[in-house]
Amino acid sequence: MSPLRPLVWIAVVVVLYVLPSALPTQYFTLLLQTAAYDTIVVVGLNLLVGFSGQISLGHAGFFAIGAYTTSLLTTSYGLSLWLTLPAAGAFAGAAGFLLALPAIRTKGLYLAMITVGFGFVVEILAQRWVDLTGGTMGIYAIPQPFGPVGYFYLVAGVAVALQLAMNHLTGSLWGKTLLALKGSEEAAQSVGIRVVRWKVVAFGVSAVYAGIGGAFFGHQNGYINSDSFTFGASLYYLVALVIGGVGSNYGPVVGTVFLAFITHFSAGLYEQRFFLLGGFLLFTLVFLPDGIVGTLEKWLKRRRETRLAPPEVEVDLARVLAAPANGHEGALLETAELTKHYAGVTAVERVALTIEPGTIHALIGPNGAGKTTFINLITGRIPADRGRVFYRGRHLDGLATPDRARLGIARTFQNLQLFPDLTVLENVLVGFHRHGEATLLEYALGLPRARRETARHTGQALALLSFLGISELAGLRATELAYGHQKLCELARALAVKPDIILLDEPVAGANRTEVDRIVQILGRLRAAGITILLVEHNMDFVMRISDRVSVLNFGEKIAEGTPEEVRANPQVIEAYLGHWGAADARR
Amino acid sequence: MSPESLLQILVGGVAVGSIYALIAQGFYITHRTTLTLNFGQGDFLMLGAFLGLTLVKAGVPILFTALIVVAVLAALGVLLERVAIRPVGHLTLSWVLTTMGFGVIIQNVATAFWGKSSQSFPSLVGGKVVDVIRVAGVGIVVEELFIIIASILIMGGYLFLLNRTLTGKALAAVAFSRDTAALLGVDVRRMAILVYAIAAILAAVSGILVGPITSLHPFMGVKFAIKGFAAGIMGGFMSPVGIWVGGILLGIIELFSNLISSQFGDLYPFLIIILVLIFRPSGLFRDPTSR
Repeated sequence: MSPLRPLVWIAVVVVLYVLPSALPTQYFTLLLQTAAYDTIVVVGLNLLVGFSGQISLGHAGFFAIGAYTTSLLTTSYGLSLWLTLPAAGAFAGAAGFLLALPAIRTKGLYLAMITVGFGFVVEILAQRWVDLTGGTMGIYAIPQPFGPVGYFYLVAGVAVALQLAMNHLTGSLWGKTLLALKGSEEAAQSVGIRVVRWKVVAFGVSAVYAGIGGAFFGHQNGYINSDSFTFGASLYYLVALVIGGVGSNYGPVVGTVFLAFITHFSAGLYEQRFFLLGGFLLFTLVFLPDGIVGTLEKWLKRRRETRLAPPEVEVDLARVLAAPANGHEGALLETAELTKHYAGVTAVERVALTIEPGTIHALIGPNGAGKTTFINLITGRIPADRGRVFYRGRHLDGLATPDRARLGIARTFQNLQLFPDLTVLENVLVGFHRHGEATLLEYALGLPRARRETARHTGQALALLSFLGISELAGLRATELAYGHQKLCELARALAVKPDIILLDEPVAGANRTEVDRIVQILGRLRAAGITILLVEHNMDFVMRISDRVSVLNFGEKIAEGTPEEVRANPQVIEAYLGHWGAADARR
Repeated sequence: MSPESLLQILVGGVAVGSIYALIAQGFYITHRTTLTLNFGQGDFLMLGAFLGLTLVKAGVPILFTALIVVAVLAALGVLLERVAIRPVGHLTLSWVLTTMGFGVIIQNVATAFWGKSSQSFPSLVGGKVVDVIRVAGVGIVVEELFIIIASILIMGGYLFLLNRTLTGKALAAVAFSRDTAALLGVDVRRMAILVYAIAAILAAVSGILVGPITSLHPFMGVKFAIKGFAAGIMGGFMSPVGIWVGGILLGIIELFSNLISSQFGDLYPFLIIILVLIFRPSGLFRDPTSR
């Protein structure tokens, strides 16, 4: 953290303190209040859109729930604002949770559509459930504490606190995890991230922010009615976010303040406001997709490109990779009768394979033999038609990819799946996911356990990168690396899982001889450190050099298995690769 | 309830359900081909309805009205693809926001031209909207019958286009794999424009058809978009026929639930979406285990 950081925040507090006297009319004080609670809503929306890659077109609904919660509790039950504010956040959060849960399981798009419906439903309820909400007549005599300026200080103070909490969250491992699953759900699952759960939580947190913002709206004028919670309001927040910059920490506040003043100065254009909002959306997304803050940040970053250059350390691999002990003896991974058909095409047919712990086991076969499908069956990415996978003697039926990763099954991908929004180091950090213990709240508040965890994982991640010889690239965006380095980065991420077994899908595809030699060396050291390896590869030279055991698939069936020498001499294998005449030639 | 009024409600449900199905077909065909769809589809419908109203009131015969509205909306669909879809692509969710933005601009334009108060559409078949004909002793609202027949004709043409023409096959190829289709000489970009034009035409026709049985309002679009989406979810968004059945089911459920309580009538499609997503996430008609 830069030493200037506290000074900046002091300056922020001073500015906020002076603002009401600099703009002395009551009208401006109200405008400032509005900008402050709208900022809270948009900061929450940013978590959803910018970090978890989801979208909500009904945030006014959560805003409304917050407003009605606090208004009803203070007017009908006489509760204190200090109780109703958290209650407003909690109610809105619960609504967000319930809304997201069924939708996220299916498709991201469904959730987007459902949020439209949700906003609409809240609008209807606010209008027609008159007994509760007062409908268009509304609720009167909501307490207005602290006077206009005092109230602005309260709202602004909470906004600053919530912004800080959000900064902690998004800057931490927690935020990187969201960015990871936004970038590649498949890869996120492969390191043990339960994607659905994370998305729902992000949605819930976002709704909490909207609820708190809405609560402040409730107490602003002492009066609310159903007219304030329309689709136009949801749109307003999205426009503010897009203008400010989706995914940048201060985009929300900049966008909100900008839009508040635009709205103020174009009050005569009230009838055309949808035209303005829609126009802003289209224009910004097409011509300035990073928004104001995002564009500035990009520009600044280009000027001070940081390269992290940690010292090359001698790495005690066994220490870094030490996974929780387990008592199982015998084969580490076994498949029985494993079968997968695609619309009549046999991908994998009744394959039985036994992988002994501490060995390098190669799976070879011509193109389309079912090798990658086999890996996907083991990781649970696709469900098997028949047959089972046993891991440490236990079957894995019903376990999804993240659950299997959490048991210690890691993988790399044939077509690379790095997290594009993250640096090399962060990609590896996310790999430690299953070893994390700190909670969301600890990350939001920057508590010691979250900090210790981050420091520990960072140290280990650098050690892994150093072991693979790419630690000087740690600070670069993963997608900026050369192909070979990207593969190593993926390997480092998989190793961060501290796996018992790692499944490598074509680890040396596209590698030159020097790189192949290096990977041979690396895999040898991993085997020595006790990690079991199943690899799919076409480079026979490589396979024969490194494998303890080789299995051969052809048209989905296992046709041979043995030591490299045995497999090389097997006529069926030669036939599979070279055809019948080739086999005859080889015999001669 | 008498069997007669039961049948009347049924016919009414099939009529509005057909409209929902037409909207959902617009979602389906664009999403299948481009992985995007128009969140302002309901606003397109609204614009179609208002344009139709203006032309009919000006004395233009209904058939010409329909042709003009279809042409205008198709052009608007092409414009949408050009300014709100193509520049942002399908990889991020930006297209959700740009199409939404396009939709609210249409709303604002409609407000400027037609005002904010509700308006009603004259009958499409002449006479009064509530005119009834007797079929086997049962009174059926002519307007609703007209909607049903018209939507069957449109669906017929739509299915013919998708399943029996080279264009339909090209669309299916793009849906299966854009890259492969492009390699085989399918102009993927033109297909994107085409599906957006088709979706807009479906919205135009639905707007004219639905005009007489609803009240017209610049902000009516969202309601129809949500119901169209609910219809699609019920049908699983996998086949045009499934979506059609989903829409009709939704229409029938809606009319019957309005009988029970009309105060919160608009909530039912939303509840249906949620229930379907919880219990049958891949739609009512598909086996959820097969993917």
